[in-house]
Amino acid sequence: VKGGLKSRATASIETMPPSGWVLIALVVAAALGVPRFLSAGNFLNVVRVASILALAAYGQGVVIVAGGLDFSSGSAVALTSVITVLALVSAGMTGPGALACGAAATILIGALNGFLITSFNMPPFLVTLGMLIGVHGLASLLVGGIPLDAPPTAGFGWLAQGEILTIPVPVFFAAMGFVALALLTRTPLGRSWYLVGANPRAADFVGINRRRSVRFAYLVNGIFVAFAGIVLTARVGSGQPNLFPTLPFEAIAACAIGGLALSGGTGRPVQILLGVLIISVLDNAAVLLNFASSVQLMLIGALTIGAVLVQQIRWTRVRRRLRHDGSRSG
Amino acid sequence: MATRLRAFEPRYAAAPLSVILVWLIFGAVNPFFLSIDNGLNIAGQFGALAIVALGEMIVIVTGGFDISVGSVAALSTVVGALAINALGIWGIVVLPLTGIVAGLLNGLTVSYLRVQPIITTLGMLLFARGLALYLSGGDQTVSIESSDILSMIGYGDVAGVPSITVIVLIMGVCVALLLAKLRLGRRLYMVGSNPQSSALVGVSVEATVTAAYALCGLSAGIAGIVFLSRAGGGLPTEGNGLELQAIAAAVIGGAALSGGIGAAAPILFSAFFIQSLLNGLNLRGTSPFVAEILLGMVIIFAGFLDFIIRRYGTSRRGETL
Repeated sequence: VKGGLKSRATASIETMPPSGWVLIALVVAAALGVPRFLSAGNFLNVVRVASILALAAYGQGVVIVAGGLDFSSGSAVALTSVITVLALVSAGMTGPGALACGAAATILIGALNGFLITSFNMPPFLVTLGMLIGVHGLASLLVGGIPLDAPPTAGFGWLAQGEILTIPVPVFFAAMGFVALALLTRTPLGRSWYLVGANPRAADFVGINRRRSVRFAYLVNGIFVAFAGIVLTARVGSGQPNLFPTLPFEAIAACAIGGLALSGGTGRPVQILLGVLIISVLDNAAVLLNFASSVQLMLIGALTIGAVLVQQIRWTRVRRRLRHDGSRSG
Repeated sequence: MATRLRAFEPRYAAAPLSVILVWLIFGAVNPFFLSIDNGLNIAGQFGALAIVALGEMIVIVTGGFDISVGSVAALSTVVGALAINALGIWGIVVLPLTGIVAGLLNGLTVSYLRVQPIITTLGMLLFARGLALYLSGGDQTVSIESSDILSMIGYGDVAGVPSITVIVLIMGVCVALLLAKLRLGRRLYMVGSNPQSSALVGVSVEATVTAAYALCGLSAGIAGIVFLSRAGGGLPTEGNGLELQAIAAAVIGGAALSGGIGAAAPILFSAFFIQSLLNGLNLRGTSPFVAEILLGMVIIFAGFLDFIIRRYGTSRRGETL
């Protein structure tokens, strides 16, 4: 913004986010060092697994850009599965209707998050942490703490296992989610998230309804999480209180690895996708190399920090250089 | 001066009041709840949570937080159990050491490498859990020979008070002294309330933050001693979700996630409150899931209380700061 012409010229070279280079390096390394990594079957497998994390990470990204954070998705997807299966088993609903009920419950959690955070000025960290614990209790209570199988007549397994033209169905969800997110960031609402996250006071001055903007961010997050919950429910075919407890952490890690500033205000949808793919490729390579799950955890832990670090070191250098130039000319 | 005035902040009253409320309610329903036996029982159980919550509070005072404490506690039990098997009972010092090393790594990464606390401690959460599982060879418990010292810590008592409670109280006093009397304590508050101006008056923000995470890691290691002494072995899968409870305890105990505010005594009350709640519901035969729902609501309510205090008690806080 400041540099005018010069920065616009360099911007075209720098449109590739640093995380893009990280992903390319990772894929090249995996292609060279990991047997069976470079096969069409494996590629489809990676993107199929990645799509669930992608959906959750889109939502997380929206909330992070708007200056917030969401831990509750770990229990929210569990609630989707539990409500869906209960609607099938106890209320005798059909597959689509039951899924709609499960999704509605999850979206409600998102709306509630937004309401509590904006109405009472509470830290998002705290509200969504309370939700994570409380909703887990609720989901467990509803099914007595153990997984409840969906009747075989439910018929929604296709949503997770099915394919359209050899492309897994969840990938379509993730792709549509990406398009929706990209379009959303071009609407006035989407733009307002960036401003609210970057500078809340400035957002007030230009007449943005900050509360409404943040409320919608959490609602949109709830919708994305609901889709992640639907795909997960279809995949496991049961209502599970412990469906994916680490989902919020992985989603936050994906956003950070992709290059979103957790302080809010910046980040492009493609960066979120890159972060998700980096995590998924890593997971996949570790599995193909037959690493023990303990080694996988260590690797992903170290690489989460490493990937963020790699991108950050460049930035501090650039900033330091800019500061030097500034002090010399001034 | 500032810290002394803070002791009267209304936010610190929430935890002790919650304890009284819980004891009145459960006591009215079930007289056994009010017995000394049950009180000591709760005091013996809340050890690990109280210890970790103290460390968590120190980090929260500096404006950060640490979600790796549960994994680090588990890692320290595994490393400690291996050390005890190799070196004898004095290998127990390895537990706090493991915690300090993990905490130092967290602190250095957050302060000098400027990686956000959530990413740093998330990485440590995964790494420490993986390392604990790796060292124990899968999710096996690393068993150790029973020893008098360990059973004394885990199940013994000092003049009728469980040893674990004694450890918690000693740690509480140490943390309170650190925060009120030591230079480091004062700096923790300074860095948490305003890092820029602390740097301007010559306080090393990086060193102070690193120290805070190291102390938090130390508390996780000491919580590891509690786990180890109670279970008689290294538990790689222990402590799942402990970090969330610890943050909850710190917040209910009046620590502000924005940094600069927090005290030791309310944290102990707050951990005692959470354990009393779980114990009381358990005695009534209520599902543990209801307890979870209640805990979630209590956390959100703590945030609500903070909102009320900020809105109606601002002039007062303006003076203290």
